[in-house]
Amino acid sequence: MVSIAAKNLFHDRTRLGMSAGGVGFAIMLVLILAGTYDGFYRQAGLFTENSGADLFVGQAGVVDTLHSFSILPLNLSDQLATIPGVQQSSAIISRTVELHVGNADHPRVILVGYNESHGTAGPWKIVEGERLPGPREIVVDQIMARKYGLSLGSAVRIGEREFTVVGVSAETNMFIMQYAFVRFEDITGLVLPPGTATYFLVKVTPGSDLRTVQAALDDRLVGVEAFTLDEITANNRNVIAGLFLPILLTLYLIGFVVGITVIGLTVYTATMERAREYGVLKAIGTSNRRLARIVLVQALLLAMIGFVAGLAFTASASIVIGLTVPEMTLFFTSAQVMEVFVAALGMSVVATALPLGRLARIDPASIFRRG
Amino acid sequence: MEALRADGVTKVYANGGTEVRAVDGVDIALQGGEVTLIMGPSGSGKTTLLFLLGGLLRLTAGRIVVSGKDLTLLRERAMPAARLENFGFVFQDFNLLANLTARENVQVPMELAGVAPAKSRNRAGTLLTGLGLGERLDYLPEKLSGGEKQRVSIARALANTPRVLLADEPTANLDSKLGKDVAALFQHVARSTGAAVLMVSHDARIVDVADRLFLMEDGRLQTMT
Repeated sequence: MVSIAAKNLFHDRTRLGMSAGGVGFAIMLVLILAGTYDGFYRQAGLFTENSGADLFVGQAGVVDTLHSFSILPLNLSDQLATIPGVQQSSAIISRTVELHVGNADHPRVILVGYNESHGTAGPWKIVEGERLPGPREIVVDQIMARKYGLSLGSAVRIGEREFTVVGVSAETNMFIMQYAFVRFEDITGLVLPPGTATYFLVKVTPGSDLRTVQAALDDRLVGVEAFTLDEITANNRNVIAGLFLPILLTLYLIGFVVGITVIGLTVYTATMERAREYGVLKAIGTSNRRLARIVLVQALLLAMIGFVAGLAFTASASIVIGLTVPEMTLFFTSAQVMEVFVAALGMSVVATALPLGRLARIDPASIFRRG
Repeated sequence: MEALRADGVTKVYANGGTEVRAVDGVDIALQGGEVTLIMGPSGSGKTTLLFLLGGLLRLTAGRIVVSGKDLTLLRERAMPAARLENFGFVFQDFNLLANLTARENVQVPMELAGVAPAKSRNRAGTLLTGLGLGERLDYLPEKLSGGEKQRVSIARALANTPRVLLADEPTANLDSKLGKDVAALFQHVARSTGAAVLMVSHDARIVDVADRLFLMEDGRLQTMT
């Protein structure tokens, strides 16, 4: 079939460019929001996912490591050792503290104090330097390092205690804060009362049933609660989802409404401009269904062109964001991009409702002169 | 051969509280290979009659039979296909699709009727060449003169080899010579394709090409020749 839809759309290149740009902008808005959300959501679970433990034990009532505060006595490790199936437990401290960089900057970090001999809770991806900090040494996140000009050998301070940067880690950015890692001994009594920790990371004996060990911990120990990695990771991610999802959903909606409006206006204008021609087509013998197909194809083409523009805008915006706001970790998946593509096609279908209604009412006889 | 027969065709419009009989009991038969011309003053109902005969408007009373099929019995949904199969339309303002070339304009009705693109492209080229537009096949309408546009619209009307060609004031936007040429072209088309041609017009210059002439006044049709 002679593509009337494509010819109508491509005839006015300027308008097509502006419309595709508008749709592309809406697509970019949606993709950036989705990428931000997914980036944040993914980051929220990376620490626990990569902790190397089988179970996380925290204070009863504490369900995540980001939002709630757990404090446990260090001698809990003796009780943990009595639970069947517990091979090893390791206390960690995880607290939000101010890191003094020089005299001017005091960024907040999620400071993790861990015992490297247990092989749990340390930085999992090192881009520079050491993975295991020694006494009075610290591993900092790469984005923090870049932002505050830290490099191997730089000095930072926590309270009155000075640390030397010996490693730079990746995937330890949490948007508004970053993780930093030190030895447990270096901060016990500094950020928590002496003799306390925030969590215990438990490794179970090979062959033991995780759920059975978890149930035994919950039953036998008073005032503590054990979580599998999946549970604590999901809880951490749910904190993020709960905080940001309503806001992001609202912004998503705005992005979609903008997209639908741009496609709708373009298709409506293009359709109404050619109302007489559609009348001619009707008079010749084109059914309303066939005319609807022409308009729909026009809208779908516009959505597809707009989507490609949106991908290009998003790629450019990601580069700019990476340079200017490195804390904002964007994470895109092909499934997510495909969802937005399908949504863009959906937008175009919705956007044709008004022009189709007008088209159905065009009287083919109206194109004749009345005599 | 009779291409179309209309019996007692009537169209009544409600205008406020009164009824207006735009077309009042018209009987007419269109013969294949002949040119029929309906003349009459503005408001006489001739264009309304054209709408009715071409299936663009529903009748209030009467019946229209094309190639043995009663159009008045068809549902509204079936009317586009009936128009596509039986009629070719030529409009006063040419009404070509502005973004399509001359050839593509002629292809449209064929492809609507299910003709394969390659075949419709060939036939469109043949039709346009036959009407003297062989050098203008890939021109957009904006690049064509008035006479050329009207010839493209005639080619489009002929694309599906219609039984009836309906033309509304086909010479109104053309100068005297071009008007006569186009009128002669309709006569040629009727003779060569066997289609029945019905023109409604004010233009007295084209009377010569008509095999039969009617006058429309106050919704009624009178035979002149």
